[in-house]
Amino acid sequence: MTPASPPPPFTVLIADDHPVVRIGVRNILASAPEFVVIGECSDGAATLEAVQKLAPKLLILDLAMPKMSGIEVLRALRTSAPSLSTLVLAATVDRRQTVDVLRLGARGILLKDVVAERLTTACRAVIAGHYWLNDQTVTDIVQAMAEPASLQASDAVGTLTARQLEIVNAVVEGRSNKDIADKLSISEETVKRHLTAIFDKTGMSTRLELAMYAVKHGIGIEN
Amino acid sequence: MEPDAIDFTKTAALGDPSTEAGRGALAEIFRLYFENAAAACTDMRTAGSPDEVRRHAHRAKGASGIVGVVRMWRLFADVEARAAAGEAIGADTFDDLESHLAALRLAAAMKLGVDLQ
Repeated sequence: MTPASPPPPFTVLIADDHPVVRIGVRNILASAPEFVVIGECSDGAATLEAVQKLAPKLLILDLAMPKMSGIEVLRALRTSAPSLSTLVLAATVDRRQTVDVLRLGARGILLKDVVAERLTTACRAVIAGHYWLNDQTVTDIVQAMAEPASLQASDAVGTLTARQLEIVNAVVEGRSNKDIADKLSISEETVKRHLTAIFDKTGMSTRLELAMYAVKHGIGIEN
Repeated sequence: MEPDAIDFTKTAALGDPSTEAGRGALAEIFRLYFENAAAACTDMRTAGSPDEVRRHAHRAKGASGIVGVVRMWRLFADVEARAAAGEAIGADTFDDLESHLAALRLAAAMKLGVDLQ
């Protein structure tokens, strides 16, 4: 029997207008064999073209770029490349920007002063379907995500059934509907019906908002 | 130089200083960093508005974070905040930035054993 060959590496596109950032990210990822950098871009318009041409698995995206900002790139990619995982790099990011990029489909935000320590971990997390936020930022984000929700939202936790709480847990873990269905031995349709009921009860409208809501209310947090 | 002026624990992720390839990688990125940071100072001196200064400082701050040049991260962040508040930054601030950059370039070259000029 021949040994199984390793899975192909995840393809990565780096988009940042600063050459030091691009080289730094490339060097760090070079030490992680599960990633291969297939392209680098220094402006937003070139990034959009490269995503279409190279179809990377992961986009590492700066917010402040010439021609098109990272926010504009995310907005364009939301429809043209919905399966792309995006990790945003930022020197600093305020609460509203963070909420905006997550709502536009980014899976994580990493501040540039911790890139050396956390880049590979963050890349693995977002590729696995999880959300990656710097620990310090989570509380702020939870507050910002909760702001538009009704006051009734905080009272809704007690109305969730045991099954609905299991599903919320799975959403926090970043699981897809299919994963949740397999895990709970139910159909995807049933998962969707539960999610609809959960959204109605909590006042949330997306999985991310639900995950943040769950974090705020201590649902699905094992550690 | 204060102990945290450059966080050399970050440089290990950028290149292994015990190998020739790693030293080459470190030399490339630090040389580029100091060139770009010096250019950012020049650009800020000649910027036409506080907002332009803010953008240059923000960009330079991000690069400082990647390579672990903590002191410059703080100094660029300070300039960014002052410019964002609409302050016209004086030449003495840019003199100070350039002075710190020169000292840090020397310190990094000595620590890493590479020529950064």
